[in-house]
Amino acid sequence: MKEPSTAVVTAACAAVALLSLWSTVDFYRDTEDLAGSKADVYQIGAQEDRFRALASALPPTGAIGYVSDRAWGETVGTVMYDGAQYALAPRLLTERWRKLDTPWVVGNFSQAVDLAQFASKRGLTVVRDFGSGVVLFRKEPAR
Amino acid sequence: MIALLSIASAVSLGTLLVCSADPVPHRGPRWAAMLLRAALGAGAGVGITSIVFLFLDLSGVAGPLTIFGSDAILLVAAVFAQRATWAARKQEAPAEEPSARLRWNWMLALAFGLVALIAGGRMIQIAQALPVGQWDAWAIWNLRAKFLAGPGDAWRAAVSPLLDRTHPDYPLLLSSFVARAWKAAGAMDALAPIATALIFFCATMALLVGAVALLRGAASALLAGLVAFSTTPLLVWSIAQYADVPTAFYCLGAIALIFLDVTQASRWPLLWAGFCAGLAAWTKNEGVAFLAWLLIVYLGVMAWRQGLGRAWLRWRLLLAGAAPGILITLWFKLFLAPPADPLVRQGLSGAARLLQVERYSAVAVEFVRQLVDLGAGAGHPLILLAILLAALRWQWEECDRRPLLIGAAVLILMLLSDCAIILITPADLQFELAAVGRLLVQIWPIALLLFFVILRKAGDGTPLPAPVQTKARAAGRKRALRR
Repeated sequence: MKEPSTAVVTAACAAVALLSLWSTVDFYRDTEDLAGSKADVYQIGAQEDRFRALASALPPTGAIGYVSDRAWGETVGTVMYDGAQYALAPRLLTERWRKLDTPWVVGNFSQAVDLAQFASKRGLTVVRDFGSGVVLFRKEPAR
Repeated sequence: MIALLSIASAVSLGTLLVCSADPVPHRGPRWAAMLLRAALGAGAGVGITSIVFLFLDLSGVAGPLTIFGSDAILLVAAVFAQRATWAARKQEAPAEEPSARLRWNWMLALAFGLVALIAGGRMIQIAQALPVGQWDAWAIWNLRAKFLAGPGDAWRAAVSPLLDRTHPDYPLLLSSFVARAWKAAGAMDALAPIATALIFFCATMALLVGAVALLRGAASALLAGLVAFSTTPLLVWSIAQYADVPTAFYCLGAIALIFLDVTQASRWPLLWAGFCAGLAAWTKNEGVAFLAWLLIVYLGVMAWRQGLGRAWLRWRLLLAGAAPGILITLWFKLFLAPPADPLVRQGLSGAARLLQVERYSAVAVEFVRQLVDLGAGAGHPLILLAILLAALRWQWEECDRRPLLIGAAVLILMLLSDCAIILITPADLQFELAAVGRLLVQIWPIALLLFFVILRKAGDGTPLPAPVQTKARAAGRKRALRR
């Protein structure tokens, strides 16, 4: 195959250099939101503060129960669970808390709910409402 | 700060090991060999220390003292090994490989520097704005790092069946390495996962540029780097703190070292290639597929070209290198975290989905869409590659034919297995399709390496310095021709 001329090689290299510069400037412009103050769209960073007081009331490790007004399958419910889990790790949050030995159940709510009614429906008692939708429940002893 | 110290210690350990078992002795340009050693060393250091930490953690003795203590022991051993090989190597002058030279290399270097500065600056800003990373970072990788870094037997939560929604059976390289930094520091701050993500990004870029420079010269290497920087998802997923770029790094390392093995008289390139492939399996499930395909394809191609006997001898080296990664992944998958993924547990029922034609079209459309999304506008990486192909055309070296075949076959098989997984998954198809962009990121660096090996060297006939002929290099050449 015929070798390309020096001019063609140089022009191609110059074009690639310029276009990649253009592409990088584009990347810079397109990621303005990602580098801005609203980058954490799911507010995961804020969950550590939200759950800080509750965390001090829990054992440092082990499985802890989890209840919420939003189901895990929907995006909001999943984000709420994952956010709480990340903030409270290395404790392990699970919705399958009825089989656990631990008496503690963490409540994570997206809106105001009747806590007494929510708890009694599930065999729980409210230990403390920490505000911002964060509640600590305790399993009622089996009768 | 202590977290960064533990990361620096791991990277130094890996670099010393790579220098003592040098996969690119007598290869030039010298800066490219150094770049490749540094990149490979960073990846090797992360891999080795992640495995050591997991054992310390599971034994209940992980702590700052044991982490830095084990590092110190390994560092001393690496220094002694390095000194021994250094003394032997001093006997021979390093050789510069002749490479195509372009009068305008400085222009490419300048553009590369500018692009790296702009993109790197933005990536650091993103890391500052989003220290927890993107979804999978806080839902999977860093979450499991928190379990591993917890007190006592908190590590059990990382593989607990109760964690079934966040994949307790995913390999642990990344989580274990971040946990190691957290445990060493005694605090779980965001610096460790951010630094780890940036190290893997820089190492991937350095490995690509270094390998292409060693194989095709500086100009081709800088062009490869420019195209890589134009691949937006590579930048975005790097700083997202996901395991896809680390997987891409180890896959690229394995293929690049198979190329470099061709002209080396040493067994180290192949051993390191295997080591990288093993660590790819220890990073992500797609890495397990990569390792399996590489072992099969390597043996097949080598047996076809050289006969089974010689192929078997070479293949054993590749397997020996991969052994640490294979053993830790097997132990993890079989004994520590049995399969929890519905994909694995569904058995043969998933095969029925292979008959649903609409799934094929959905997967194909998504792959095309993600290929388009690799970049934007006239600076799209595919446009850049088309310009280079049209202007320079292709011309590969005869000795690169076999690694090219191996690399291309593994790349295609990876793509096909990724597609097959999406086709048979019991999960929601739309949800699975969202991962296609990241699957492309995993193989994109290999695709770039193969492209630049095929592409004619970017040179304009500027005279080159005469190559220094050494015994080792001559032996390497002879060996390559014999093959």
